[in-house]
Amino acid sequence: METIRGIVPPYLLRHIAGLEEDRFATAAEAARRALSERPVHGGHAHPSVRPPVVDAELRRKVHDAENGTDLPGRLVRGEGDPATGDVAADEAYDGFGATDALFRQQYGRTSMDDAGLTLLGTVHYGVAYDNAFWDGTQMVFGDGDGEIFGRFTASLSVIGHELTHGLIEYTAGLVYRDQSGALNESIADVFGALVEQHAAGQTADEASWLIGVGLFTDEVEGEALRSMAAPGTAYDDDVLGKDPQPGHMDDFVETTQDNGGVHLNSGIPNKAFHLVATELGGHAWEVAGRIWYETLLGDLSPRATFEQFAQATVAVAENHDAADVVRGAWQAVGVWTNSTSPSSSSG
Amino acid sequence: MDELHQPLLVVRVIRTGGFAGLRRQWEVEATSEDEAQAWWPLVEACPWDATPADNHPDGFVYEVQANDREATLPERQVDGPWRELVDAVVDSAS
Ligand SMILES: [Zn+2]
Repeated sequence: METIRGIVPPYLLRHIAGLEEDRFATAAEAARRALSERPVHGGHAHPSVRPPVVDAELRRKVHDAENGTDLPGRLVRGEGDPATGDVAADEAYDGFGATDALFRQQYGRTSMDDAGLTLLGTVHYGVAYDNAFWDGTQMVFGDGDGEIFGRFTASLSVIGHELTHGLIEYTAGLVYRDQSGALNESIADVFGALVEQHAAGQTADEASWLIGVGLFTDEVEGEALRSMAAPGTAYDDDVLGKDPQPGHMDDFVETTQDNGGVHLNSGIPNKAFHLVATELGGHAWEVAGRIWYETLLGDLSPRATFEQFAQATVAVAENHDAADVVRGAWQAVGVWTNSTSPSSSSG
Repeated sequence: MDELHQPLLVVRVIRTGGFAGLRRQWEVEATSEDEAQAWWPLVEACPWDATPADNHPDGFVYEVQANDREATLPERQVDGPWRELVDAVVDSAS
């Protein structure tokens, strides 16, 4: 049984529901009603009022676009089917499984919607297509052009990243523009990295904190697309230039391109998470990851700024004995100065 | 500057975003009347004033400029005449 979904996507409903201007009042009310009636809902509802999950087994469907752009394409591997022998299709299938394992085993979540939604993916999208994306319904992976990029399923962190975009849509619904968009990007990187660390059993100290290892061909001077530990250092290449990510608010990039620099400024919250994880030590998904996950499920505005998100993580961290560490990390990346940092609320 | 070598039409495509967040740029310059005549129908066919749709996460963002016209488009909106123009610029410039 497929999970029933309305025609209006949940992120749009959440966006409309959040509108406060009077002239949108009717639409906003209708959207709030639609959200509250949905069998599948985001994080704003309290966990205890969640309806019982009846059928929440892991279900995956991997399709092949056969170098076209029609989605989803031809089904090549459903849940429990044997390996196809096609590397990209099998990597997507296994990557969905590894991503599901992190969220299910560590956070008790059953799929992106927490109601067993089937994980849909398509490989071999387009011709020499240098990208992977989440289209609001499914994950899509290109083969790469063979000169700069190879296939986008080659990195588990990329698969985890795309699936996390789906999770964000079902929870905080962060608008994909400016600071809320950079948070959306960063959270996708955070859980992309955690999926990889969880699968490899790595601690925060053992992890590379790199996103997209193995995507570049040997022609490119660079080990990955992004570095959470040291934003701006993942590649430095004659053709591509240098990794432009900032790791501190002093270097925040103001731009209209890339939806307001969402793939650039994500380096700042990425670094904050890395600091929290390495400061706490051990497996990053256990405390640092849980704080970020619970923040996503909390009362976060779809247009949250870095500072609002930081405040929300500190509030969640109070329950995990980690508020000082989290507060210190956001200070270190310049989201707060010492004087603007919220004081501890535990006293 | 020599009037003969002033480009009559410059079409530029700037692609940002995508999972990698890499910026790519392609550009064609039509310096002769014949060249410009070949490009104009492709330019004119595009709905320059249409409202841009929302982007999906990791979709490419295309900025298309043709002389004083300009449009910013999410990847999902680059189809039909936009796709023809963008592909023609990328193919000519590559
Ligand atoms: Zn992304």
